[in-house]
Amino acid sequence: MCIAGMALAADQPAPHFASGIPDFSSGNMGWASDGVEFLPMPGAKFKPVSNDPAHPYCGNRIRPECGNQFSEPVADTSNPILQPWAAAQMKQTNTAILAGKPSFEAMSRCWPGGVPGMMLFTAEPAYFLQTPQEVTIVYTRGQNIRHVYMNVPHSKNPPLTWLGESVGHYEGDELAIDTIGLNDKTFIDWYHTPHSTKLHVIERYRLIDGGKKMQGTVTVDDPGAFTTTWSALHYFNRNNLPISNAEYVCAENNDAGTNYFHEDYAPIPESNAPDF
Amino acid sequence: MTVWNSIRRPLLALACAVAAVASIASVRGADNAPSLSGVWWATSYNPSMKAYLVGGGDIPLNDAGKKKYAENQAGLKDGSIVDRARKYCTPDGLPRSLATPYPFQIIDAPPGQMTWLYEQNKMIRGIAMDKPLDPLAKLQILPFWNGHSAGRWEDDTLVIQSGGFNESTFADATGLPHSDELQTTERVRKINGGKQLEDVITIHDPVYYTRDWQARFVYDNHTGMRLMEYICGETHRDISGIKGINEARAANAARARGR
Repeated sequence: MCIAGMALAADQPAPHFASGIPDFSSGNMGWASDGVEFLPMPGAKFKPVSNDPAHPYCGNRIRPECGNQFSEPVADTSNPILQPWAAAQMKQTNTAILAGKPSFEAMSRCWPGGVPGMMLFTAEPAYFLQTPQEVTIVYTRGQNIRHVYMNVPHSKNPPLTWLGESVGHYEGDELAIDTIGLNDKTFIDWYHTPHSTKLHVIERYRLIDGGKKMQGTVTVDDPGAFTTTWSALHYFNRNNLPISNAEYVCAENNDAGTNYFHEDYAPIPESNAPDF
Repeated sequence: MTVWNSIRRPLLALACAVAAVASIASVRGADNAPSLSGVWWATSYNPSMKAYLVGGGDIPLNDAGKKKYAENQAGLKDGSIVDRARKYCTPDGLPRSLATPYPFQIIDAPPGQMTWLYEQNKMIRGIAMDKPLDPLAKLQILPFWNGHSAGRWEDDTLVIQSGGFNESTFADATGLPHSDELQTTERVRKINGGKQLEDVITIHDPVYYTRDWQARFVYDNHTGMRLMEYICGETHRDISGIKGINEARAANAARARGR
């Protein structure tokens, strides 16, 4: 059974290479996440985790429903996709956040954000470098690099890593990416939705609105954390900063000792002894 | 077969693929320029840039350079200066990045650019092709760890000019200094029938050097090898087979014991 690509927006012709493959680099530019949440698929029975209705989440957006200030992500742990242990863990996180503890994300302290979590980091663009053998996704944030090997199968037993092992292929106007081999140190989203090492993610990217936007769909399968397979949508906006002008070194000012980034909560990656 | 079971199969996506193996033939445009794309890996490592110096001899430090170098060496020895590239895995800067004992990948993309991805420290060098490098004063407004770079082809040689470096890096692992006036020119080409890559870098930094000087780096072709994740403090690829690594690690350990 294939996971069918879904036409969810009225499309105009989007940039393509001469071979017909969609050009996700669209003239040397990147893609910035539109918002910080996964959106439900229209008509889907199961939805991604969203905010507790009593606690609107606005991320870095100032909105009246958030009291015109930044909000912290308090999860709706009644979402039926969550296995009991996952919901219980998230309730503890909610309690801590509501008590004023920082809403910690590993990515805030220079650790990779995982898959699909990397999709939700908003401000710095992601670049899709397309070659016949590989699509390399460069997330400017933290300079995290995903190597998507094209038209090859997964390794038999890939090691568990922060960004996993990704293979991909094109289906018409879509780039489909299949990822396994993810460690369980990251969250699915900003609601601190946990996952296990059984996580299997399929992403599909397509250009919409004539290439002005990119649509990503994600299908998440993790029998270690979820009661069912679920899917979600996310959108990206063009960011015209060329990759040659994009350097983001997370550890640059992240150890300043001011505790602004909650250094007391989690250390940034560092080496006790020089590697070489 | 349920949806649940069906997507659990890692190979499913491939089975569903609609023959999409058409090549991206013109990612770089139709200029037919030689490509340096692939994975490249040095066979040896030396912490001192002097080992890579073209023509041998000493690196031509001026008085200010000698003073700064001595300060850096003393600080690294007693721990008062932190080598951020090794403690926090920030970028090594140029020319130190070129001495990496880890593999790196050159990608002819996105269009109009070339991207160099280093396994070590997740360094990224985006090189704008066929456009001049901005004046140094403009580049210095937003200095980068690995500088800003622009490239062009001269026959089969890629010429990369870089400038706009911050002063948070050393020119080598021994603390060799550079200033924010550092400007470099690299001439990169395949040698040995494409089995190796040569990168000769010219260092121009009148703040610390009496004249321009050059260093030469050679890498073996490992195209097909996959770069690995590199997270600071975690276990990395085994590079003990790289000549000079064990000696460098022993020297670092001895320095740490001496504090």
